[in-house]
Amino acid sequence: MNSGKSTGGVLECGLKKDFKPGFMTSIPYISDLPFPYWLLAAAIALLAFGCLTLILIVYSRRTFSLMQERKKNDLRFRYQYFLYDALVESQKNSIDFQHVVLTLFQEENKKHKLDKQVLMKLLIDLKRSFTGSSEAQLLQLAKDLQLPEYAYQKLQNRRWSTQAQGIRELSAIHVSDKAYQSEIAELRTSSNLMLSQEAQISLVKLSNPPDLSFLNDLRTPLSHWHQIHLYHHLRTVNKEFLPDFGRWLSSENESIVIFSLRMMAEFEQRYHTEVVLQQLGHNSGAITLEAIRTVKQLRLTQAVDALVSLLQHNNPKVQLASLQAIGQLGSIQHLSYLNPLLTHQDYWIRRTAQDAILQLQQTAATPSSSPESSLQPSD
Amino acid sequence: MKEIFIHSISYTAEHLIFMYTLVLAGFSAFLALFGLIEVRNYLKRSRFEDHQAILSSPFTPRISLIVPMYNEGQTIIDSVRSLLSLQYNNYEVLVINDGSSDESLNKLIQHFQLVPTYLESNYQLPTKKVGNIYKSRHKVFNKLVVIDKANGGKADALNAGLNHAQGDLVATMDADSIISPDALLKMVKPFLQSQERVIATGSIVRIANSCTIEDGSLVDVQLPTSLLARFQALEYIRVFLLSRLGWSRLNGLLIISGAFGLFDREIAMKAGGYYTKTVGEDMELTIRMRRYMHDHDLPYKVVYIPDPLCWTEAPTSLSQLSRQRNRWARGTAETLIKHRGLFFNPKYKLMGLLSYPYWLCFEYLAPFVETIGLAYFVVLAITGQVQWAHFIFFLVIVYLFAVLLSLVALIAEEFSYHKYRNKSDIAKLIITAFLEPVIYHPIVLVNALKGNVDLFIGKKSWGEMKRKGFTKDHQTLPKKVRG
Repeated sequence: MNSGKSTGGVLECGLKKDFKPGFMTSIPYISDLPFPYWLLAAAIALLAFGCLTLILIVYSRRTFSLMQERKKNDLRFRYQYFLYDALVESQKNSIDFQHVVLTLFQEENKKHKLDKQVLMKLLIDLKRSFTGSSEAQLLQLAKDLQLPEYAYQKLQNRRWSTQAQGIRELSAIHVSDKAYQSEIAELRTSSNLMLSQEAQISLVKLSNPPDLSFLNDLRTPLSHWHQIHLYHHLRTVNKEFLPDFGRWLSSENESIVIFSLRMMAEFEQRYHTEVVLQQLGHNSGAITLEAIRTVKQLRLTQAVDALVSLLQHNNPKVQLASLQAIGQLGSIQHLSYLNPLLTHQDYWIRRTAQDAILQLQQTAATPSSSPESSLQPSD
Repeated sequence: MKEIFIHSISYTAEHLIFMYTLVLAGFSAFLALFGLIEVRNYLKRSRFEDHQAILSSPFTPRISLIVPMYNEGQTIIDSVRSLLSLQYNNYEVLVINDGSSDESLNKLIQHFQLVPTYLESNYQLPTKKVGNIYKSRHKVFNKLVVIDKANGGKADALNAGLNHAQGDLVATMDADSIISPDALLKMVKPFLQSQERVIATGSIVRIANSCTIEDGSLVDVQLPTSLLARFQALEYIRVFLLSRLGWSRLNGLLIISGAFGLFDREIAMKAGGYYTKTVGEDMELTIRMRRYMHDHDLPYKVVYIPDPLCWTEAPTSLSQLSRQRNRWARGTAETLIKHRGLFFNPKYKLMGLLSYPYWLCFEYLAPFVETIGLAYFVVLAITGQVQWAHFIFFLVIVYLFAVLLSLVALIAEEFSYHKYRNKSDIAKLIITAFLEPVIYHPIVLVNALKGNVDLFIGKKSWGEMKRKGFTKDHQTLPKKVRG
């Protein structure tokens, strides 16, 4: 091996040793650099270490995960058995379910350490399968076992994921304690999007009527994802307790107006139809588009004239949505607006106009029948 | 004079190759780090994502899944059946028969009881002549639309699909790929979650060789038994999990794999659809869509998600692999040449200043630099000027770095999705990581060079890849893909 006194790649083939063109004087040949044996040794050692570590990590992680999984399953099975046993006992002998289960879990706690995470998950899963008094019993049991305090501790954690987990657990076991709720309310405006969304959804679930006050001062867009999740929980709420979404139609936040229109359509809120109709002329194409869908879903036939004027809109999506809405809400006299569109240069406008005309004709012939889409086979 | 010349060549070559290697290694390490961060964050966020809400929501965007089909008679029925049962509530499946000469279309017509509709054809994006548009008589198959058209290549078939797609989003895939049942559900997430407009998403593609496939769905994941396929399995893990996700974090992605991608239809159409005169249509469309957004000053994102949602059959013979890599090299070259205006163009921000130069210098030119380096080494060796100690030193360092990068990818895989559950698999993959630079890399290098030669001489064909297929006719039992 070279001793480190390198003479440079080409110098060994008969060229003058001291020869160096001007531009090479400042930077030496790579091969003139001292030979860093230590680096080679370190790299080989690092790789060997890396391989060994990888194998060790993989095997130990897999073994550990398997053990953890097995332990959790055992615990889950045991706790589940306790709960069912107590339910049966309480029904057979008319004894207090809470008392039986608490005694069992206290004994469990003395013998082994009660795994609250497993228990929390089990109760949340079980709660989904029960309603009425059984659900109430499970929720009361969660309180008696101090699971809300356990979940609340997670809110104090510095990691957003642990905080979000705590929020989710508190809302899953319906903790309506004001202190906890105010703590969650503070996280509604967290800079961490996931955490703030979790807090907002949690407040919708925990409060009655659902607390959507965050919509009043939300400056950032309400993502479609979040809208979908909010709606997912709102549809479990009794319609009587839902807020009037028309109040947010004047919001400066475009996404909130869209969300409100969607909710008005889904929950059939017809309190502010005039305001909905006004949205058809909104500057924002996205709001106009959503307003058309709302009008269609709420079957606001008084919107047809406005929809006809939207056929001239510069946004093709608005034109298409208007055409579809006219097909559903219009009558045979609107055919005069649609017929010229059959020769429109845009394929989708032609095709949607064709569908709409077919719908209007079928509605006129048999008002109750549902028209066939043109996508159906021709025969 | 002779001395100055030899010195100059030698000095420049040494420094250029050394600097090139250093920068490439630095970039790879940097991307790997970003990729790892992206995977970690994604998995953390995923814990709080409730897919049930999307499944039952009336607000999900409509997706049109476009499947170009050319002589896929062996697998098409199973593939379409599995595509019709994906977990998503608002989608259609558009199978585009690109002038197949086998029984593909007839099989579809018979199995799904298809009949022609009276719909007119749409040529907003110019395509070869479209014949019948079929729909099924059965309501259970009402998501399926089959479009029969004259043969025009994959890009042309995809354009026909774009023309007839009703969805706001279009998913494109290869007919011989297998996607997970929750693929659309997961791919649509970035479109719903992001504050900025997302124009395209891609997911990790994995190798399906040796996996068990039942009715067009993946039921058991196994590491490929064929060494060539295993090299590719490792390569895919490394490229997708580290590099692509790293670029995704930087919002600098230039490619959404043609095997499976989801695009904003409006932008894809406005950008002009697929370019039919290249064999790298997936990369070309991604770049053109990005250019469109820049040209119109619209904020946007292109996102990769680390979920392994698409499984594809890797070539198991050298000739097949050669054709595939040859085509990839030509596609990359064609796209980079077509979009040469991006090179260090500040108008295109990160894409012009970083992504494009990286692809040009380190993805496209790498085989050339490597070849020049090898040629230089051969000359030095013949003339007796090699300092063997230095040579071995650098060779070992580069080799170790390549292996290390693969090991990092394996760690990332283990801590994220660990699809290969057999304990021996990880040992096999480590051995593969050590063999890859000396056995597999030279094959890829040679074929990349051949691809460029073919491009130079004007070869345009795709090069047919004979698939072994995931299932066979009349087969009801699960089938293992060979290789």
